[in-house]
Amino acid sequence: MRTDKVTLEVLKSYFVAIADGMGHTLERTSHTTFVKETADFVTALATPAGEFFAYPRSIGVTSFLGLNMSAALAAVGPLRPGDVVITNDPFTTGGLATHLPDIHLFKPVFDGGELFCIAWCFIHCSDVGGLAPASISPDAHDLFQEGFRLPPRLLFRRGELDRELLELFLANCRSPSENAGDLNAMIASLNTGEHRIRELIEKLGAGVVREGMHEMLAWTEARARSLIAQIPDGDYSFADYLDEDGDGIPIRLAVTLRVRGDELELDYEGTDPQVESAFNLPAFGDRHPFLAQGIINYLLSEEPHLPLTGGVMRPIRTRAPRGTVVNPEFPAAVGVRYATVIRLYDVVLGALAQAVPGKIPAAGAGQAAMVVLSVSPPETGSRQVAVLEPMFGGGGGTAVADGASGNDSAAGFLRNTPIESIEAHIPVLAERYELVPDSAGAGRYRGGFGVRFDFRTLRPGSIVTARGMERTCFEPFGLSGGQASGRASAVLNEGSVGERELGRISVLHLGPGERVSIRGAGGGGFGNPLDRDPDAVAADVRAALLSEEQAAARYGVVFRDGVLDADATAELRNRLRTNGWRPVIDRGPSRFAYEQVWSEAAQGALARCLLELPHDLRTYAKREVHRRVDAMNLEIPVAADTIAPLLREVLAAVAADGQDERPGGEATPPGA
Amino acid sequence: MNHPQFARRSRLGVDIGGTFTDFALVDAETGASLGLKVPSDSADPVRAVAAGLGELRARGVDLGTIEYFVHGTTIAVNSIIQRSGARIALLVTDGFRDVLELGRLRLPVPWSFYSRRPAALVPRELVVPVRERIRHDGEVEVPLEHVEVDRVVESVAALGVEGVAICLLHAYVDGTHERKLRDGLIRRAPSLFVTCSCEIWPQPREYERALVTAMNAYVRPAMVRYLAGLEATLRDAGIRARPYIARSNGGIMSTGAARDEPVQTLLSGPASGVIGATDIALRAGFRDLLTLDMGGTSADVAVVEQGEIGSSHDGRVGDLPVIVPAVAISSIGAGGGSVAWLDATGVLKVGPRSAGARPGPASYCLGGEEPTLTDAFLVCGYLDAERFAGGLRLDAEAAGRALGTIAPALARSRTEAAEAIVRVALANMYAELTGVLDRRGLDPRAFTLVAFGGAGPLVACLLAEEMNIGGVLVPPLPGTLCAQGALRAAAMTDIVRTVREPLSQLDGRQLAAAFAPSVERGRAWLEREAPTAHRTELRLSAEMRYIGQAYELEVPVRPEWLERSALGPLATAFHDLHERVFFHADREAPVEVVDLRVRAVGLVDHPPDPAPLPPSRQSPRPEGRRRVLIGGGLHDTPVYARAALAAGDELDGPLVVHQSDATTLIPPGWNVMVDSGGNLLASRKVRDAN
Repeated sequence: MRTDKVTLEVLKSYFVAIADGMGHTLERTSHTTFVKETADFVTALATPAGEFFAYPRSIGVTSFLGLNMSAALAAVGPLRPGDVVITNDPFTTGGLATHLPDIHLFKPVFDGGELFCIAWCFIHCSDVGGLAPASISPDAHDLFQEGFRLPPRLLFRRGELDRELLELFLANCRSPSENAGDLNAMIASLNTGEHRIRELIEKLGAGVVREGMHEMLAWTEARARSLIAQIPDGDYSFADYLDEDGDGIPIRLAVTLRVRGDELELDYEGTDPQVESAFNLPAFGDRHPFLAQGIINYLLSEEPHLPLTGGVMRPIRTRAPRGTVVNPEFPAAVGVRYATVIRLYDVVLGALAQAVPGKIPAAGAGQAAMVVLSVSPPETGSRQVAVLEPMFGGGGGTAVADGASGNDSAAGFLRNTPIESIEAHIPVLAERYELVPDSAGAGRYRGGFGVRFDFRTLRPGSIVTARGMERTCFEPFGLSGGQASGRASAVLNEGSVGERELGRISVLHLGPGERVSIRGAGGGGFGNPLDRDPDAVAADVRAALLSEEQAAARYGVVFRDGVLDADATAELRNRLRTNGWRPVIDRGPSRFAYEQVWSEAAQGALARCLLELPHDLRTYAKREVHRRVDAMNLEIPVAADTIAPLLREVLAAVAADGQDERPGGEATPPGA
Repeated sequence: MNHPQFARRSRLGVDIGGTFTDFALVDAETGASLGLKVPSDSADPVRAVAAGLGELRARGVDLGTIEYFVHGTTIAVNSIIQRSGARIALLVTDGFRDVLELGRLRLPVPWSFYSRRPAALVPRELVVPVRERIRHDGEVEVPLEHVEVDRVVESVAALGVEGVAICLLHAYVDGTHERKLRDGLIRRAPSLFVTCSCEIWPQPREYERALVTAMNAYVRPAMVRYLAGLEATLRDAGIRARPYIARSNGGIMSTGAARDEPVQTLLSGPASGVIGATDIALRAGFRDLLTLDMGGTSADVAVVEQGEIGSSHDGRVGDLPVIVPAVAISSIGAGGGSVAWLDATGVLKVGPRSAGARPGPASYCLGGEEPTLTDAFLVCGYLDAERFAGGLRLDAEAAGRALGTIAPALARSRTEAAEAIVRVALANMYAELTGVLDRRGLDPRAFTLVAFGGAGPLVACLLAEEMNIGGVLVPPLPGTLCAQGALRAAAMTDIVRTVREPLSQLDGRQLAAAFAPSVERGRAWLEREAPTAHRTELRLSAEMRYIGQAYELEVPVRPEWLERSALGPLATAFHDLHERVFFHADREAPVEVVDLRVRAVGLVDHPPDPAPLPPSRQSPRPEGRRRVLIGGGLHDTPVYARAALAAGDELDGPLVVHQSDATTLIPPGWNVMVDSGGNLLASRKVRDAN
């Protein structure tokens, strides 16, 4: 590093202050509730090459830190002073935007005629059109159903607003005035950034600041490299699932983590093909942060003072085969991509746990579900929509502590909504918002407890959705001898005649007095439960979060008349210890049963074969192969080498049904 | 030394801090004041009060002349931070047992594997669910049956608790169920202390309300014990004045009220400092202020616009929110005890960890070995090792040794390393202070920095330079300003009532009727708490928002608006305020009144302003000189005794002003003048035109 190590820390404070200041301007002047209440926005300064060197610490979301602007910059060509670019399009920005409601704006900052840096910001706006209000629906089948698409275009040209572009955009949104207000706030934010960086240049000189911004990236990079160098070299593979794509077949996300010295690669080869619903993650590039959130959070957990810059991505490569759910082909729907990001987080941590056991938590509840109620109040007739609660679940246990209850680091920024606010806002009655006893994965350090939210609808025509609800099929995994936790679930009208298990909720049409109960999973456990401090087990029993039966069965801790029996505990633990082999990663009983038939090898083989088909055939072919395997009623794993022949049968049947009806181009059977 | 000016009537303010307990004695007839610092005693804070009173007596002060006594205590806040409060039970609506555990769900450090929400103040086994339910509109969904009350009373009795907090859903609309439970509990155990959420702070948002209710019961036994000790100490010292206790809202209350609502003292310490700083600055003619109270562990910052001290409902104690009104203060992690260290790449960092008062900076020689900001100040020559605050002595060699642990890695001498620490600390403070102003969209150039606390005057000019703040004011006794501020505070309480009605559905008479019970309570409170007030006020305000928004703005309500039926002026006031704060307003959009607030204020008469400082006869003489490292340059710098400066004196930096409770540094390029109130007014020198 050439910049002095004192000046560097001083510059870091200035840079963070500028990025924070941009965020405060945006928050203060924006209109949208998303911005004010969920803080789903962020601001930053990027180098001319497109890496963020100034990123806020106290305001906005953290997950955009590693984004790279280079593709978006290349798409618009050379910029001039006063230009402001607008875009929300994943497919022309290399995944700078990852779904359409995220509006990105950026502005070049010049010094003496030379491009100095880029001021950038994004917000999740209220609506950009499309098939559903708020523009996000799992049911969207392609990008065109998700709203108005803006490839990078100049909103301002040399300081002159392009009114036609603005009007065109606003004419395609359900909330034009809110969006217009938010765009103004974003422009104010960019101007704050531009103004502040100019002040800094005036104070310290352009040379010091320019060198400082590059050194800032190098500083983060150096720290990240030294942390990666401590991870043993090797290849570590892991996979996990999204529940399904409307057909009962799990969506498999697979990664191989390759650590070489102070660099690493995340290779998503073997991941399932893109889906027809909105779970696709447009992460394209070879270094997308949404594919590496687990790595970034690991680095930030190991080094809490790591300067927040895009330098964190430099030692990291991501490879996502084209046509998979993590690198979908145009025009895949992408609205609910965050469900996929959250599962990728588990997948990466599962791989990383094999490399650095003891430094990685077991899986958290693995969902960020938005429970939304829509009713049509009689007095106005216009529909009212509100997020009742964001639902997560327990966090995974770690080598040093129990997991957090109700939330963990995959979506730790989420805030809930007070029950008293919800009920005053929309007709609903909350009946329970509480931890779920016995939901935590057992371990020396157990997972956090899941949360249940029970509510009663009060009006006819109440519609409930829960986009992002996951983990109803497979349990979050446990680590280092810790156990997987239970699954998420939902029940309608529990205890009455109409009781019904709901599984993953897509849409419920309900009348007055119906009861919905949604239960997020707990977190996985870490370490052998038989090593858990009996007093900690007793504390959970006292708190009525663990039953005495479960304490005995899972932890070998015995209570007599409500009092811990130390002798009986020692005896039971000895007995349990002798007859228990515990896997390093406990994937849970549901996944174990599924993989008894669908081995990881067979699934990987199918995913690879499917990628060679045109994308419009893949979902159909996958379902057909699964149907045929199910029909075999196997009790042993399906062999990986039977997959290609099965697929050939499916394609042959398609061809026999008539060339004209089949959409898309000519299919070539794999291996043919 | 004798103090004849305190011979007849005097007032005493005492403020407990982490390092020192501060005393401010003011002569009620002349306005002359005296400051004193004694080391705090964290094990038994009353002992420091007794020690300070002894010291005052030793200096010739007749404690019998004290007619007014105000005290800021940290008992409540400490028992929450240290989780050393009482074993209490919390009663909640069935189905919502984990209200404290879940809080608002968000993790303090969202991305960290190891971040956890703070432990719940009341563990789950002491949270008792109650079968009852009231809806948001007050309709009873599930009545509270007698048998249920009896069952709950019995289960609470079995828990063996010292107090009970009750927070039921929507109790801010109807507190009947909470009161029924309380009556049942007290019938069974008359000495049990019970706090109801419908009384302590009846506002929606169940987590925040439950927490403030629980905090009140949690800290109460410690507060009761402490106040008993305090009253005994004052009695023994011959002080007959009825003590007042400082509140978070910047006001004061009797010890009786403090026993009932100890939660109101949580954020009182820094609040008193803002009152004191504002009072002095206003008298000196400054109205837009940034107050900076920097001590050993942290710096507290508040914004004062047009003489108005900001109020907030989102204060924090540690990671816990406190919704009762408090003076709006931002705490930043920079103090004299902030530790300097190197990260793994060798970059110099300062804080956020603090060596605190113990072991404290290396130069305290109390076992601290890491270099701190205070050590850096000392080595740079800002501080005098022989005369630090509160009679402490600093060890320059120990400071140098500590700096030696990091200097080689920075390729710097120890002195240069010290200056580097100051630079980094200032940049940290710059970033945080800029955020405080940015959140409100304020321009630093319009503000005066009022610096106090042990370290505030030391960094004030350097920080003002960084931030582009126009001027700096250092009050006459900056080390004991919190204690002085408490003496200027009014008896003051806040009363809230939730309304949640569209403004269009309300007229002036209805609004007046909705205010009436709170106004009545405010009057009764003043009669009880401020019988000697020379003037009382009832300030009305409404928390309002656009329908659909989740954040409110507090709009002052003029009484005459309530006499008319149309509430147009209130709507206009809301739109105007929204425009000022958020830079936009939608004058057509429907507006909602969320709650109504009454602030009852009993103003005490103040002693006269102290006699103006005599004008300067001749230019002051420095009492010595020392070499001071500022901005990379070593300056031969004169040191002035504060007492030797007279009104009208003007001096050019660099210079150091020394007094027993603080040190002020005026860097090169700045000058300072002394006003007739004895304040130091520093500003940047106008640069030469050529």
